[in-house]
Amino acid sequence: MAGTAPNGACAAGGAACAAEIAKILGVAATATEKRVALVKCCGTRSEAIRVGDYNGICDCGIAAATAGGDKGCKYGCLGYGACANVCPQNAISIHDGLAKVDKRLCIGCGKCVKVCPKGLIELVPASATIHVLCNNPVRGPEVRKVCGVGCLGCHLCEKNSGGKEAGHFTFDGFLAKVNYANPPTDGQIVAKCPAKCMSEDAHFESGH
Amino acid sequence: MKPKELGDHYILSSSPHAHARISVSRIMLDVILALLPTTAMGIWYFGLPAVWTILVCVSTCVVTEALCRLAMKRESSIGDLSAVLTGLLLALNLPAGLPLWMAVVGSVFAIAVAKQVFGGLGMNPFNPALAARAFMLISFTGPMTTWLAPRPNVDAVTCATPLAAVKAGALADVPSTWNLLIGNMPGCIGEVSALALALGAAYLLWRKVITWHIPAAFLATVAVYALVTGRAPAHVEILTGGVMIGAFFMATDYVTSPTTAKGKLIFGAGCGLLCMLIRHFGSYPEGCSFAILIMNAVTPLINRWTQPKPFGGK
Amino acid sequence: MKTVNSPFKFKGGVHPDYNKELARAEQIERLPLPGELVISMSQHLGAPAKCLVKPGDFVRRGQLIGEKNGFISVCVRASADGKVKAVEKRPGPAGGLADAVILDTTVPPPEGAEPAAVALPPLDWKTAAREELLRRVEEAGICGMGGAGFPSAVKLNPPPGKRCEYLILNGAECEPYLTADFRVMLERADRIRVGVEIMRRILGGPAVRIAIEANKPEAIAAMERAFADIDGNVEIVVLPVLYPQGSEKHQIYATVGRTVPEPPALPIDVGCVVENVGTVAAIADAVEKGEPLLERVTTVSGDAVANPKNILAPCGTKYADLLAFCGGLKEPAAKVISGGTMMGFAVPNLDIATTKTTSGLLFLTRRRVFQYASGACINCGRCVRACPMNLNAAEISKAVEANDVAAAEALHVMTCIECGACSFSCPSYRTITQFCRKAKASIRARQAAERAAAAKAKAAEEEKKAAEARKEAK
Repeated sequence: MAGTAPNGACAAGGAACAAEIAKILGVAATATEKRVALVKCCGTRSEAIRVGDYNGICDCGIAAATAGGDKGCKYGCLGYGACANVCPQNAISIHDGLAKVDKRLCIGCGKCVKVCPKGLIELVPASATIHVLCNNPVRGPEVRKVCGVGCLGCHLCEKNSGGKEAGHFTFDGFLAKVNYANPPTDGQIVAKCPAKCMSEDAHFESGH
Repeated sequence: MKPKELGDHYILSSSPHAHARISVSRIMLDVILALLPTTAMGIWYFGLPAVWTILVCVSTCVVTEALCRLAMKRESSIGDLSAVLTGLLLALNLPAGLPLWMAVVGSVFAIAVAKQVFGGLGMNPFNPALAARAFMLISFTGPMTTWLAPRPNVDAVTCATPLAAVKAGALADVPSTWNLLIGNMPGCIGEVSALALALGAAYLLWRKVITWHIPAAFLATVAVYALVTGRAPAHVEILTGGVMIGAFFMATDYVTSPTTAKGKLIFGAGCGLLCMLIRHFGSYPEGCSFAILIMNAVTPLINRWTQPKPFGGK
Repeated sequence: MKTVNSPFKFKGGVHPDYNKELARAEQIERLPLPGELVISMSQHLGAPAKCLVKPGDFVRRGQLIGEKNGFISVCVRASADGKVKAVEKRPGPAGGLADAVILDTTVPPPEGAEPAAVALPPLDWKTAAREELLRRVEEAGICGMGGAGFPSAVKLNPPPGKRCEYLILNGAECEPYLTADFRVMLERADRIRVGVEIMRRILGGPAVRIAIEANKPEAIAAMERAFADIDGNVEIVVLPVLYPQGSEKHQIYATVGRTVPEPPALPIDVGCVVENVGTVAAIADAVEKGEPLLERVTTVSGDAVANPKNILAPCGTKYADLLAFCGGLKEPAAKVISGGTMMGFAVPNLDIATTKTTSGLLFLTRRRVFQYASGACINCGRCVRACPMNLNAAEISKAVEANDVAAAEALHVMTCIECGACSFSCPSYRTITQFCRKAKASIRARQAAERAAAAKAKAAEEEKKAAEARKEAK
């Protein structure tokens, strides 16, 4: 055996599993933090406009292939539940046209990440609480045309969390991204986000 | 800030954006229309008891369908008219004068057990009306084989069917060919009048609701069997015992018959052969329903054998 | 030259309402240059072109603004003079995002700019070398204008060992409503004649078949006149009216009786090249006049349009401009379709722009629009009878519905041409064609992943071998 796979790479098994395997193999357990899926969109039916009446198979991939989907924002969650369908834990459900992950049920297997045609699901550390819930990198005015809660790229979150040097955020075009290697902790910046696309509690908790 | 709405939305769907504008309910309606001549003939021959049987079967089927969908928390499917058709087909396959509570039990069985348990229209492995008839034939054997004589002979209350006569070797008791054609013989309400059934079948073929494959293979097999074995003249075998209604209206049920032309030919021939084997060697004089039910069970297998070869494929 | 009736009839097919009378009598009209053009870098099949301009640049009509990017790709040229306002991702008719050049055509050329020149020098096709003609087709940015947009230069250059025996001109136009090809055959017959001679030269003198559906007698007559004095093996083949007669494979079967094997086989594998009549005319213009493919005829029709027309418009014209030229809507439209009703794309708004493949733009009222439903298959077999590829569409749709893509693959779903005949004839209004698309997309994704994995494994293997070789060398 090459023995190159890092111990603890099995996200589904979790830390306890990694420790057990490490014991059997006689190697030191690498501490890996639990990672959970995050849907980086908060454009509900009332906030993000729909531009057409989709009439077809209820599946995100095929809906996206039909005129790019019925959502005005071409980067946002379509809400047809492709991720929910592949989730082995039933941890994802659709609320108001938006996929939501139950943090406690999610085992970080990453199936939803692969299946999402918009590529807007990311595995993030379970301990991170502050997230940017947007995936649209275009300019603010363009985002505003299609969504009331899209990231405008104003950099206020960065400024309010100690500036560029603090390194809590990176930017892709006009889209702020949380640097999960060094996530922000100050809840103040969420309230100060003018676009209302940040969240302190992005995951829903189902009644399980 | 809420974004401005972009006016009216267009419908977004994958192509095609054109449709032949046929629907399941239209197809069911066509079959019901095609059954009207034989229904009328049945009522003419068997009078009020036939009317009551038809009304009870149709209404029980529709009510059962509605209740099943309600219980399963699925959307109502009465609008597709399939329950009406099942009720009508069942009634036409029952003898007039059957106690009405038995018709009710049969109708509930047809819809609840033979159809909705499997998930409703499109999912049932057996023709619901025939499954119910088989169930009733086994459960209520006596009443189900007690035949009212057709109207001109009002005095004769019950009598034997032509096939029973054939079975008993009394070929002389078989009615004349003309009487077989117009249906002046004892039998189920809707199976007696071959001419009325042929009229309905012609309508279905013209409307392209059914194709010729299943009925042609069915009837041809029956005729060939009759000619080869000489049990009874071919026209007697074809015009009696529900072969006509079976070949054109029961065996052609979409859900329970194969999809391809080749598969339909195999299916029809199988129905004809089994029907004649049961008539010839079975203890029932009549084998059409059982033949079709057995072939229903074989349909998935036939479908598997007769996959079409793609254009350009090997 | 003679006219014959097609001796071969393929199995399946459907008869949709053609509704061609709405626009068939309308002469081709040129659209006044719109104030803004949205020129996509992805107007064809294959890799999008690489954008060569940036905001603020002033481009001239015919100037190269997008470079061919790969083997299956086509270059893009500016459809008009204008100033580049922006280069950004815009959704195309099918919904995919692609780089597009937003051109403001109201800006006059800068002071001291040279007067607009012809984009490419005219060629004399009778004397020009084959390679020169091929290069011209490539430089002019020509791709199939029937719908798929396959690069013409690739089609006209068969791989070594394969020879084109038949050049088939596709004038079937079997899509409902569309009359663009019909009008081109009527009004530009001489250009088609020249195009055929050029293509015949490029392909080394194949026999020519001009395939036209029987419901276009005027077009058949126009072709007969244009080709009356041509020498060599040229025939006009009159096809029975049946959708999808314009499908490449079915047209080959109907005209020469050959059957293209299942994918990945191409028409050239049975010695055929099929090209749409509009494309043939574009090739003639590109060679004889040096005019790249910058504009095309688009049918704007449908029961919601005030005045249906056949419009010659620059590629990149926004749908709103086309509609305005037709006098707008006389009734509210429930669905807008880019292309025909059988294979076109429903679009969400009129900011989308035409491409080299936009053959039609349809506005349908609610009366003409139907809704798909999620009803169960009743196994009636209509889709199986309708399928021109002879697939078991019912079983495929049920397999995909149950997420069993492997079963769909075993039922040859990859052979599906997505013509829509199955959904068209389904009494349960099931989205059968869409189920096929879904299966094909996931199979293609899996194949791509497998290819990538195989390439990676191969690279690792070679790396290992090289390392061993180095070791031994030491």
